[in-house]
Formats: sequence, structure tokens, C-alpha cells
Amino acid sequence: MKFRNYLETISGVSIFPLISLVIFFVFFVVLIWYVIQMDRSKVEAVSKMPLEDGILRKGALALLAFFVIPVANAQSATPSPNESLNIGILTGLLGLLILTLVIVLVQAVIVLQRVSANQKAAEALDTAPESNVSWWSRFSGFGVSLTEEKKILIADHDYDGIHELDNRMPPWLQFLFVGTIFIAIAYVIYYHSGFGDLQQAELDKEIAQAEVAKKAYLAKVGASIDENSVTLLEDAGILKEGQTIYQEKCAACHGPEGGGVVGPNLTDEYWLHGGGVKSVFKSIKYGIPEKGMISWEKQLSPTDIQKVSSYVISLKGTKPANPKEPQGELYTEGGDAPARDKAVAMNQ
Amino acid sequence: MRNVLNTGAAPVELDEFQYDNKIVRDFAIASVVFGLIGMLVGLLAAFQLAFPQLNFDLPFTTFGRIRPLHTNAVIFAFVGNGFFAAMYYSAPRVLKAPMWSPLLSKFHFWGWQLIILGAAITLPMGITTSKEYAELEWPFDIAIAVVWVAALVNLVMTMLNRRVEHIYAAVWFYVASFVAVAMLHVVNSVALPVSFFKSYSWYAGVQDALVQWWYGHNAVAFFLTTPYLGMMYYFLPKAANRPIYSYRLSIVHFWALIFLYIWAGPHHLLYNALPDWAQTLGTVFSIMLLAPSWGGMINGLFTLRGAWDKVREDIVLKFMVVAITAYGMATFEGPMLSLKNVNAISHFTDWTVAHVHVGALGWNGFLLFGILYWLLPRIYGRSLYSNKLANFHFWIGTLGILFYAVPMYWAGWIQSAMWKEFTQEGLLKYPNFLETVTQLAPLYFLRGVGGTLYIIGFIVMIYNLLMTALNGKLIATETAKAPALSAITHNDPQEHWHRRIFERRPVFLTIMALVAVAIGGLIELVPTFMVDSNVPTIASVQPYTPLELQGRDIYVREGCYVCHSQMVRPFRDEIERYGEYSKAGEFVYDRPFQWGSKRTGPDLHRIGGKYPDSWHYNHMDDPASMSPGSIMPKYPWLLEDELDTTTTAAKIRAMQTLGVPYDEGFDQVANKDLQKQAEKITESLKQSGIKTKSDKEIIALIAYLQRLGTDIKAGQGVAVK
Repeated sequence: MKFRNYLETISGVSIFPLISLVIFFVFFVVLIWYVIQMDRSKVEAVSKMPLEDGILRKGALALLAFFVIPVANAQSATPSPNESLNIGILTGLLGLLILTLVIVLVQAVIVLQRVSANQKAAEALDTAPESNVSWWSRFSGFGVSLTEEKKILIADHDYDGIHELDNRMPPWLQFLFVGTIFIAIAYVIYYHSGFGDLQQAELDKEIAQAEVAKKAYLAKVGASIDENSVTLLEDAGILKEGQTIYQEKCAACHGPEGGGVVGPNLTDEYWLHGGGVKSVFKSIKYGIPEKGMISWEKQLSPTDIQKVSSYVISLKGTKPANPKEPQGELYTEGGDAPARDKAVAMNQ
Repeated sequence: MRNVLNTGAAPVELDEFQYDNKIVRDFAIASVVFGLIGMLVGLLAAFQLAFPQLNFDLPFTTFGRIRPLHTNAVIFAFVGNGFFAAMYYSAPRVLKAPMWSPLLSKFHFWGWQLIILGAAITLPMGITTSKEYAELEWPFDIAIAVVWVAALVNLVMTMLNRRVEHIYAAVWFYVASFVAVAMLHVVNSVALPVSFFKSYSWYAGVQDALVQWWYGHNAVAFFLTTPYLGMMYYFLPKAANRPIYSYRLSIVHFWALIFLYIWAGPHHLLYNALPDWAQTLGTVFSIMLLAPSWGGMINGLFTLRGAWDKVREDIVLKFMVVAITAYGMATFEGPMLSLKNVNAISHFTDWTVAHVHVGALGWNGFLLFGILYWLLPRIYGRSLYSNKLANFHFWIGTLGILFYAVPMYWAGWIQSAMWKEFTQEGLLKYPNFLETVTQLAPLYFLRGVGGTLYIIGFIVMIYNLLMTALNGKLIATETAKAPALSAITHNDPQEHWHRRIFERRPVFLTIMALVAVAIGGLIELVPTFMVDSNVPTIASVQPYTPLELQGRDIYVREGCYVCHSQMVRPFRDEIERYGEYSKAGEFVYDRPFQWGSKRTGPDLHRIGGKYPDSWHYNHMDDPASMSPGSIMPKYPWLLEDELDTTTTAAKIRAMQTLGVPYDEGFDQVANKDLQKQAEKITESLKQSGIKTKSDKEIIALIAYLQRLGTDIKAGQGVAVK
């Protein structure tokens, strides 16, 4: 989610996906047009291009260079002041462009040479000793060229016309296998000899860390509100926010207008667990679990509870449709002491 | 061919025998027909998540019952029948012998189809064990075991009656699949029947979970992977007309794969009540599985070396290449998902759903499509009706997979991130679970679109194959000639060790395959059952009351586990959201366990006491009335239907047999106890203004839900303020 937050801080960020969409769209349209108008002979010519491993590898290296060089460039350029930075980047880009062009040209020349010398090369391959095969081919599992395949066709292996070659396992796959076995052993040792955290230790650390972060935050923003310090808010904007929370969290049980459904009526003057903002705040925060009112402490921040409490109190005297009958003690502002005592007693 | 030449100068008498193509055709038809049904049911389930009204407010069409039908139909009917079709075609041909017993083949065919039919009827009725991919009740389990072993016997006898000296790699994979699935199925399905359609798992809680995922994971391995690798080893070289890339690789990756796969089950239970050592085993064996799994992909793709120009033209190879690539991606992703820090994100989300569908749609589906396009024309003696249509199928199918997978990955990541995000005050950013679900609705819809595309392609294939068949004529039997095995057997001291030890000896091969797959299971299962410290007991955890037990069975029947887990993982966000994390000792009376594997709805392990009875009553009647925007189906019938209390005594007795400490003779008074508790709940509902009778199913379900996860609090209640 962090990444999204960063993105949102960029002004006008929405234009970028649009631009990339347009670029991709154009790219694909051009590509499709190119493919459609391409004739058969062209397709065949392309398919015969001898793109061998060597070229692919060099191409990949060139691409890698393409991505690495600007990074190196940018790093060296960072400390210099703005103008020279721009010049540095421009020179870098220019150099890169030239470099890329050179690489592409070299590659093209090699391809052309290969194409013209195709016939000769094929003949040469036929007689070439196996040691001529590059280490890369052998590493990737193509140590035996297609033309020499007959030599490793296993005699006697014929199953309904299916034959088998005696290629060795590709070395990279062997390394991968052995590597994963080592990783597995290391994993067991790491987690079961006390270095790494098993799930219980991990949880303890996670919670401890979170506690520290939370305390630091609360210390920064000042003491938070609780049921002893909460005050009634009457600002219309805040009540509106309280209403939004109410509709989302409370309306299912107390009715959209506070008339009560599963939970009691909130618009009358009678309270089961004490009226007044402090008692209401407390009821919301800790809930009345035995009667089905859940605790909202973990879902709503103290300021949110304050807002919704204030909204609930502001409902007094409104006329909801189908109100539930009054329940609990009559509560009037000011003469609240006995009623609240009773509510607290019920709570415990 | 080679064998004949090797037999020397003496003229050898050739046996004449027939390959049966009819059984191949029959299995192929069954695969395609059931496949279509299974996929359509899946499509319905997919759209139900975007449009809950598609649950139709009927018991038989709710997501909880439909989803098991989808998984069972696709795995066992579509993929399974496809495997059998391919096996009955390829195994006789590489062994140069018809299937040993045509009668057993027929028995296998009809037995299997009847089981599937039974599943299609009983699963929507809510007759289920709730163990994923093994939902069928005990009579079916027995039938599956019988049919399965019959097919195994048929295959092994065919191997013994072969006319080639050595057994080809494809058949190793077939036979390993059969022995492994037989073992998994039998061990996982052990249960005590209560009635003809109800049984209780022999295992409880943590042990049940371990056995189930040992089974569940290896159902993927030995029903979806090894059979299809065997099929690849026959049909890919046939279609490409190329030799297999490496014989040695096939040996290494076969044995490594079947040996290692079986250990990996516990990776479905990471950050769980499972003991740490078992979780670690699950992870490390999954890591080690990467190279052996890729061995299959490499042997497939490298076999195409020198034939890549054909891939451009040949529709069969096109399908196979995508299939093998999908296999490679899924088997790379698997070990990654088994790393615990990745699993912490992916588990319970749609990421897993995306992962399995890359495997199912890409690997199983596309490989089978390729094979069918190759096979059907051959047994109908004509070329494929339309290459154009097949090409269309290929492209729309590929697009379908993308449209399916991408939104599901996205959904998984989004939802997991939302679950775990805290505000700076230390509160959950999205405390209401529903918020994290409604976010996903557009993605669920897109996934349905992907599924639709895939099914369109599938229907086009059916048409194409049907026209091929109608315009051709079934070659019911093919005659072949070969010398008898005794005439060609010869001793070659230079022979490769694997040929000498395994490929000449079918029974030994079969037994060694069983040994290879049994080791991992034994080492993981036995200690979990034998060593008490693996499941620390909690004194305050008590058996369920009769009413709760009945309610629990309703929970199982309705397939609640399909969308709701009962496993609070030891993470800060889950403890904040649900409550204390789940402990192994809390599940000792849970038969079967209900941990679930996907949270489309919130975890329910700590639901007990969180809401009033009336909330549950209203919520089951219409979930949106209590949680506006909820995509949960309505369950109005629970409010109407009367609870069947005639089974209570039998259920209590069964539990006693399984070791649950109810008092002697409790079964006789159980219903009285049940009645008492039901009255209490009815009374509490009445206080909230809900008038209902105490004999309704909803009362039992409420009793169960309110009990869930509360025992541990009873133990600590004094200490906690």
C-alpha cells in the first residue's frame, strides 16, 4: 500500500497511465498492421534467420548495458549543481545512444555475415569436434548440436516410435537442484537452532514493535481522548462526520434514524448504560458484549468515537419511523449522577 | 523395431493383438462433457461472487455447495477422464499389449462415471465431508477405492503382459500416480459412518488438517501433475516427431519428484496451529521440488529443439507448449508460495486461486486439448475438421487464462495488503472485513469474463471434435504385431542400471514407487499422531454440546468452510481483527477440522459471543440486512427447516467411539440437553423481538457459532479484566 501512497503524492499522476496506455496502444496497432501486411516470403525469410545463442547473449548483454550505464551516469552526476547535472545527463544519454547504435550495427553485421555464410557454417558444424561447443551451450543443456544428435540417440529405446536421447541433465538444472537442497538445509538450521524466529517469537516482536511505534505517534499528536476526558461536540460539520460513521457501523442494529432495531432506541431520553457523552463514549468503546453491542475500540479511533457519540446524543428528540419503546433509566443533562452510577454497575 | 532386429537370425513368430480405441473414445467424451459442466458450474460460482443474487436463494445453488461441485467435476471428471483416455491409448502402445482385461477397463469407465454422477447429485444436496477435494461421503470413498484399485491392477497386469523388454517413462508416471492416489485417498478418507450419508473423520483438529493437506497437496501432485507428465512423455514426442531430450533427466526427475512431492503438504498450513517442525518440512521440501518439477518442463521443451518451426504451424504443439510453460510457471510459483513470508501474504486470498488456475487451465486444460486434437482425428481416421477453429480455441483460451489469472493475482495482493494495513494510531485501516471484499467485486467480474472466454474456446473445441468424429468413422480396434516378450528378452550386462533394476520389473517398479511416496507421509504423519507435545492440551476446551454438534454439521453441510476460515494466524493484524490466535489444543474435538483455505468472508474462529443471537438470526436470513453490501448468500431455509434430532444419539455414540469424553449413556439424554439449550436461544431471540420455534436448524447453527473459539476464554476469564 505504501507504493500507492507515494504515487498519490505526485500531482497529476493520472496522466502517466494514460500516456503509457496511448504508447502501448499505438505500439500494438502498428505491430498488428505490420503483421497483417507482411507477406509469406517475408515470414519465411525471418524464420530462417540464424539467431543463434551467441547473438542472443550479446544482445542481452547490450540491453543490460543499456540499463546499467544510465544508472552509473546518474550516480556520478548527482552531486553536481542543477545545470551541469542536465548537461551531464544529456552527454550521458548521447553517449549511450551512440553506444547502442554501435552495438546494433555490430550485431547487424554479424547477422548478415551469418546469413551469407550459412551454408558453409552448416558444413563446418558437421565435422567440428564437440569441444567447439561454447560453455554457455553446454551449461544450458545444448552441449550436443542438433546435427550430431544421432550420436547420442540411445539404441534399443523405441516405444511406439518414441526414441530417447542421452543428453546429460542441463548443468544449470543440476546446480539449481543442489542449490535448493543446500537452501533447505540452511533453512532448517537457521530456524531451528535459534537464529531465526519461529512464528511465536516473530509475533512477539511484531507486536512489541507496533507498540513502540504507536506510543511514539500518540506522544507526537498529544494525549488521546478517553471516556474521562471526552467532551460533547456540537459543530455541524463534525456531527455530519459522526452521522457518516453511524450509518456505516451502527445503523444495522440501531436503525438508520436511531429508532432501534436489534439495539435500543437512541432518540429517546432513556438509557440502559448511561446517557451523556462520557457514558455513550464508554458504551461504544468497550461495548456491552453480553447484550450484543460489540466493542468498537479496535475499529474506531478515539476521535471517531467522540464524533459518533456526539451525533448519537444529537439525535435526542428526533422522530424516527417505527421507534422502539424506551428502555432503561431516564437521563437528563445535569442530574446525571445517579443514572450513570447505575449504568456502570450494570456494565460490570 | 529395434527389438525385432536384435532377436537375431531365427525367425520369430509374431503375436497379433488389438488396441481398443473405443474405451479411449468413451473416456474422451466423458472428459469433455463433464469438463463442460464442471467449467459452467465454476463460471456460475465466479459470477456469484460479483452478483450474489446468482445464488438464487436455493440451498442447492449456494456458493458453498457449488464450489466443491466445480472443483470435484474439474479435477476428477474433466482432468481425470482425460488422463484415463490418454492412458488407455498410450500405455498399450508403448507396452505393445492391449489392456490386460477389457472388462476391468469397462468397469473402470462405468464405475468412475457413476461416482461422478453421484457427486453431481450429492454435493448440491449438502452431503459432504467438507475435506477439500475429498468431499464425497464414505460410500463413494469406498467405490472410488475399488474402481481405482481395479484400474491399477489392470495397468500392472498389462505391464506384466507387455511385449517390450523395458517400460517407458510415461508408464512410470502412470503407475506412480495410481499407487500414490490410492494411498492418499484411503488414508485421508478413514471415517466413522453415522448414517449412510454422514460420517465423522477418524482424525481430529490438527491431525485431520495435516492428513487433509497431505492429501490435498498430493492430489495436485498425483492427480494433476504426474499423470499429465506421463501423457506429455508420450504425446509430445509423438506430435513433434522428436526424440525425448534426455533419458537420464527423466529418471532423475521422476524419482525426485515423487519422493519430494509427498512431503510438501504442510505448506498449506504455514503460520498455523501445526507444530513448527512440520511447517518447516513443508517449506523446505517445496523448495527442493523446484528443480525436479522443472525437469519435466525442460524435458518437454527441449524435446522440441529442432522442431520449433513446427510449433508455429501445428495446433497440437501450440497447446502443448503453452501447457508446459504454464506448468513451469506454476511449479516455480509453488515453492515461492511455500516460503513463509510470501505465504503470510498469499494464504487465504485469491492469489492461491490464481495459482491453481494457471495450473488447471494452462497445464491440465491445454495439454489435454492438445492431446485431444491429436488423438481424435487418429481414432476417427481423418484429419481435424477445422484448423481455423482450433486456432481460435487456442487464442481465446490463452486470453481466457490471462483474463482469469491477472485479476485474481491483483485481488489477492490488494486484499492481503488491506487486511494488514494499520493506521498510525495502531488501529486497522480497514477494520470491517467487508470493505476488503467489496473492493474486489470488479476483479471478480473480470475473472468471470476470463472464464467465459476459456469456456467459449472449449465449446468451439467440442464442436470441432464432434464434426471430426461425425465426418469420420471410429476405428474401434487397431491390429498390431510384435514378438512375445520371451522371444526378445536378452541379457545385456552393459545395460543402464535403471533399465536393469526398474524397467524390466513392473511389480518392483510399482512397489518402489509406493515406497518412495510413503516415506514422506509416514515421517510427517506418525509423529503428529504419536507425540503428545505436538498438540498441547487446553484444560478448558470441552466437547460440543449435542445442539452445537448438530449446528456444526449444518455448518459443514452448507459448506461454510469454502469462504470462512477458522484459523486466526499469529499475526498482529489478525489478532487485532479477530482475537487471540488459534491454538492446536482448541481443535481436539473438531471432526472434521474446519480451518478452511480461503477467506472470501472473515475468519470465524473467534465469532463466538461477538454478536448477539439475533444478529446471527437476521444475518443468516439476509446477510445484507446486518452487513450492507455483503456478498454472502441468503440462507432462509435454515429459519424454516426443522432440525433432525433423530440422529443425535448416533452422532454422540460415534463421537464416543472416536474418543470424545461424553459421559456414559449421554447419547440417551442428549436430545433433552439439546432441547434445553435450544429453548434458551429461542428465549434470547424472543427478547430481541424475534419469534421462532426452538426446533429450527438456525437455532443449532447459532449455538455452534456462539460456541466457536470461546472455550479458551473460559479458561482465562478470571485473569483477563
